[in-house]
Amino acid sequence: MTREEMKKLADFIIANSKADDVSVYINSWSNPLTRFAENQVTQNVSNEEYTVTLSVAFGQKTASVTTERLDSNYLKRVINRAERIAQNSQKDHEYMGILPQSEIKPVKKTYYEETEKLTPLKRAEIVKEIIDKGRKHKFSIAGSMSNGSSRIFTANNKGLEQYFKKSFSELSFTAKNEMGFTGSGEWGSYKIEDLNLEELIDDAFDTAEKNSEHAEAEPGKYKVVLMPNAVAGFIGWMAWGMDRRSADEKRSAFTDKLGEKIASSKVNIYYDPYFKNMESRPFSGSGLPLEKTYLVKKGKLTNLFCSRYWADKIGEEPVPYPGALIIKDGKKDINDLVKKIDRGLLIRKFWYIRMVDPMQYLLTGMTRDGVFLIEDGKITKAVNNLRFNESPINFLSNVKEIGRGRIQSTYGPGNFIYAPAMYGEDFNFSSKTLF
Amino acid sequence: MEDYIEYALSLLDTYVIDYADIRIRETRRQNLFVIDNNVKHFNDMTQFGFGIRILRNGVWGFASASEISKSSIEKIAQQAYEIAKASEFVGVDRKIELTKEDVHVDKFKTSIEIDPFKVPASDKIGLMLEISERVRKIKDIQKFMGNMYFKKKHQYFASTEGSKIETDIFTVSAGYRAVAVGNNDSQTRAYQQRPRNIGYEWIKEQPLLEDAERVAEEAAAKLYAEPSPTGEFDLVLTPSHLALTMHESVGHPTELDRVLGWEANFAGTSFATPEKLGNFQYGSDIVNFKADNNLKYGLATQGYDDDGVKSQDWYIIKDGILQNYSTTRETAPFLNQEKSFGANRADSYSSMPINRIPNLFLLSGKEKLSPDELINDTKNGIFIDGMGSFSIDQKRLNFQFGGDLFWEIKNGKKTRMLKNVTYQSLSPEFWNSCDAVCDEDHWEDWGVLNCGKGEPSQTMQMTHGASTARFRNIKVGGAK
Repeated sequence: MTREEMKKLADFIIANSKADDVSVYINSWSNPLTRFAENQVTQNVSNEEYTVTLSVAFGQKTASVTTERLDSNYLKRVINRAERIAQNSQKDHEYMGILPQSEIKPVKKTYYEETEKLTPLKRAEIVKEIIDKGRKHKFSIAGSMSNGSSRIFTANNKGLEQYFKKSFSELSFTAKNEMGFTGSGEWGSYKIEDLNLEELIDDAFDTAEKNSEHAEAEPGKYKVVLMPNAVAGFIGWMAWGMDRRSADEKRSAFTDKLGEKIASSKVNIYYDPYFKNMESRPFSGSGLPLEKTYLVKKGKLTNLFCSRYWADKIGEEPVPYPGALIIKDGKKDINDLVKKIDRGLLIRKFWYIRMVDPMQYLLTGMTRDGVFLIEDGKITKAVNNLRFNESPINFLSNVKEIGRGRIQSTYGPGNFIYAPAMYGEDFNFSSKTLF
Repeated sequence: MEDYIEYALSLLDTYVIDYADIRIRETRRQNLFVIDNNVKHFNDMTQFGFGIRILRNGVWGFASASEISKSSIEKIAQQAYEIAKASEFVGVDRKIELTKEDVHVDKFKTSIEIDPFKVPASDKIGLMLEISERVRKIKDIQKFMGNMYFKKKHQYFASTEGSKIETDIFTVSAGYRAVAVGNNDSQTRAYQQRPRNIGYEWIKEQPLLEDAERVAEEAAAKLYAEPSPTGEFDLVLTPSHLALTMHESVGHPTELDRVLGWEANFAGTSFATPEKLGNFQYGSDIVNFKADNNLKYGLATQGYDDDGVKSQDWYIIKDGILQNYSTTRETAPFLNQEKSFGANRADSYSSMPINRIPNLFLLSGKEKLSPDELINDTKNGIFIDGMGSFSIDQKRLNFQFGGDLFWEIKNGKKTRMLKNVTYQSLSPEFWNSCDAVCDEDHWEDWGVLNCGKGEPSQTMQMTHGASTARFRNIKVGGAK
């Protein structure tokens, strides 16, 4: 759907609603994907979808209706349905109304037509290259290769009108060696030209090769080097949960921590839609402009995400959720971090991370696709996978070095986080598994 | 819609292919969230579209669109065909062959008394606000979070083999959580969602309102409960808790696509490999797991799966021994099985169906046994009710679960409330430690609405049932 088509739809809906507040959110996306396993394609799909969400308010009574049908008669029914539900609803006493237009500087490096239009055959060529090279190593390859786009148009009856589009491509694969152990590669970007397939394959296959003879690692506290994928999963889990209201209401690990030092001075977590290595949507879900904002600056907790309602109640500015987060990186490569460790573990990836205790921000999860023992500054052997029970807040206070960063795919297609490798101490592994 | 089905089938007959099907699906969902005394979100969503799946030279192509017309059917069929050709380009070690299936021309509808979409929004909102008021009156309760969810799925399925199946499926769910703050802590307690395929009458039958004070009082009591002990304990686990444990440690490891390595890059594989079929002691000899996609109120009960296979029941584990997997028409032949068990489901018209967990449940014990009698028979244990934190490795061995309400059991009595309890085990070790399952009078169906799997990610629903059961000498308290 083009921007013009989206605007026409939004104008129609706004013109036909009698509600006090009317806002329209249109999302148009595609995510063609080739999935493969056991060295052949198992699934190969293509989609082009859109949803139109109409939100209305009569005073503080609100409702929304989402549809994919766009004919004008049906849209009028949708408007009626939303209005009827809202009028029969009860108040949201925290409803803050809709926002007028803000001046927003556009981003320029999130959409590339060639990436959006990548053909099934081009995806197949990439997949074939990985599988063909894997066969030479006697690996079994599984993974997915996708591309697509997302276009967001939002408008309301107070004059707000915002538009954002991005293309994306993502590749993720796992190479299983003859012993059944694995190495994996992941890549994501707004443009396919950023894919260095050879480097990605070499790294994943090298991990799978090294992940053959296993030594036993027992649970305990370790010095660790977390690769960017592991940092994105572990620290990203925490960063998205940094909520001001729950902290103020004393039901969070961040209660009474604002302004305090919670991490090593080397740690900076922030968002910035205009970040040169990874731009992102420059406005929030409610239409607020997004500007560079630190959550953690030089180890100090400087901001927590804060809704418009809660900000108004406590007399501060809102801190909206952004499209992407950045964990500031350093200049060292992985070997520089490994060199610092007398005995520890290199973790490539975490899996199935879940909250255990929000009051400590205690998370649990497993290692996956390659855990390696570090001895006297060198990676010496592969070890079994381990379960961790650790708080990212605790870990960040024990961070000693930060390595180079990269774009990491995160929840949902085309959603990214920028994350570096990290070396930290006293990382708690509580049990081990059988492989 | 029948005209479009006929047009699609006549069109697909002109392609030189192994097999094709079309699904036209309309899904309507209603989601209500109430926080404290605020109606934060009431969304009514309708999705409509169709997907065409083509098997050509043993590999798949799939495409979908949200507008249906003869021209869009032509476009999508051609896209699916071209995608199948691209799949073949990568190379085919083993061609997909589908199990034989009878041709079905049939209709299936969830049995409902009250259409949830005909119940006024004000009734649903009014009930949630009344519950909220009761919950927030209890001391130390700071917050109420309530949710209702209704789904109606209307689908036409037709295949080039001749099957034509029309289904109407309803799903209904409601639940809420009380958040308590005090004693330098914050704790929650849920009226856990107990989703069913049924009508709005299920909302009226449940004690959603009647249990409000109890739920809130339990949340507040958790603030002053003792922290989790560390060590080995006998666990007495209720059906509302076991639903999630069996989902992760039995349901997923016995999906055949995982066993075959098809989820190796994402959801993971399985320790329950094919050579274990018929001989692996998955659990103790009182552990019996059955799959049944005809289960009354079952979340996976939809008459037929998205392969057009008629719903059926089968044993996954019998007398503790691994018997079988959940299978689809494309996975079953890898075990030389002639029929699929019918576990192929797609979460949307735009998703290709994948091997999913069916309605799966632990059969109740044969001897008369109540939860109270089981507790009376336990010397040093912990009673766990409801779902909490959950995590498991990618081969479904090492797991850690929390819960929602915990009691210490000493010498046959529930002595004091505990909080923040977690337990850790390996799946077969855990199920082999099961030494008692209560009788059928205490069997309950629970389930999940948010089972994530696949790339692109799909969300699916299935029922899990059990009677309260006991597990000996399980490690507790590792999450510190």
